[in-house]
Amino acid sequence: MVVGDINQGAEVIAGGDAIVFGTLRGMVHAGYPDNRDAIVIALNLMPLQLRIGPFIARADEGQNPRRVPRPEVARVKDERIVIEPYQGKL
Amino acid sequence: MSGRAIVITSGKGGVGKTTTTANIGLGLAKHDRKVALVDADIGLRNLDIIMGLENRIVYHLVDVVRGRCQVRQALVKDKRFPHLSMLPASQIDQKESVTPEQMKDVVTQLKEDFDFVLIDCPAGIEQGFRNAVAGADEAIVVTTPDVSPVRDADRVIGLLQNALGDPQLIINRMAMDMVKRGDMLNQQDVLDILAVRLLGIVPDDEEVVIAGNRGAPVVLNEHSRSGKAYERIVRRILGEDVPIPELNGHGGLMHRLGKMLFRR
Repeated sequence: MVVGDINQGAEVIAGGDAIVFGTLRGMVHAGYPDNRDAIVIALNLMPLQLRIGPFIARADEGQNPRRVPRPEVARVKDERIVIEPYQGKL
Repeated sequence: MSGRAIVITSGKGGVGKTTTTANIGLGLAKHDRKVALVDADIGLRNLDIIMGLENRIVYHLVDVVRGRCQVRQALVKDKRFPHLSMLPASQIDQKESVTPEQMKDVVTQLKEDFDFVLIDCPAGIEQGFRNAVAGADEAIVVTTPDVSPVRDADRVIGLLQNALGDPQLIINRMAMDMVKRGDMLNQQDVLDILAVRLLGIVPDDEEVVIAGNRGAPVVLNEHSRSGKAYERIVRRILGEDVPIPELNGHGGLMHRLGKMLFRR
């Protein structure tokens, strides 16, 4: 769990879930090295690259940042990383 | 195949080593050469941002050296030119994580697969510099036409001459308006001090900054003055005899129009 922002260029590696109370702009690897059940939650999820267990996702290029940040959760579904709004329950 | 390994260095920071590396690399790739860019600035990597490839990095130089992956796995392919690749630096290690011998090993491996290996050197003349130079066959020194970068370049040229022979020089961010007013060292002043072969002059151009922030180096923009300057440098590296043009102020249409009107 990180309280604060993770900026570009920073790397956070966790064996389990990673929760960021702030903006995630850097790289987070949750479930290192191969736990595919790990999740990543951030108040403002805009990473360059996200890794969960053995999976890697990267930001779409040319995507506009949202103006109103909202909490989101990233997890592995059907062999890929998906990002959904965080509804207060998992 | 054995390619040419060229280190791009300066001594002083912030004179445009990384920008130069990116532009020459893309320029060579435009001429259908196979190019590998190596970011030797461990701990303060930037080349990935200028190239617009930062979100594709999985492994880096230190992973390769520590045997955590193969060189081939760590190479990030450019999105514009498939025969251009970048070996990123690590963001979380120190310069001392790599020794000159290890660096030489990596560059030697890359030379087997690429026509050109361009090594982006960190500022300074300490371990990072020694690493970057270790695997190189040739060197390009970048300076701006200011007193302190020129002095640092002089020092670096001295160090390089022992290891690699005479480097070639790129004068970056030449502002011809200031040179004309006598407020900036001109090309000849710089060459008198440094006494090496001039590879090219890049004019001061805000396009370079814009291009760097967008991750699309300026050599891709054929209309910009600095892009054209890099294109000429690339052709000189490839052995073409391209004259170094007199750079003049705004140089463009308005300037020439003004001149024509005055003559009448």
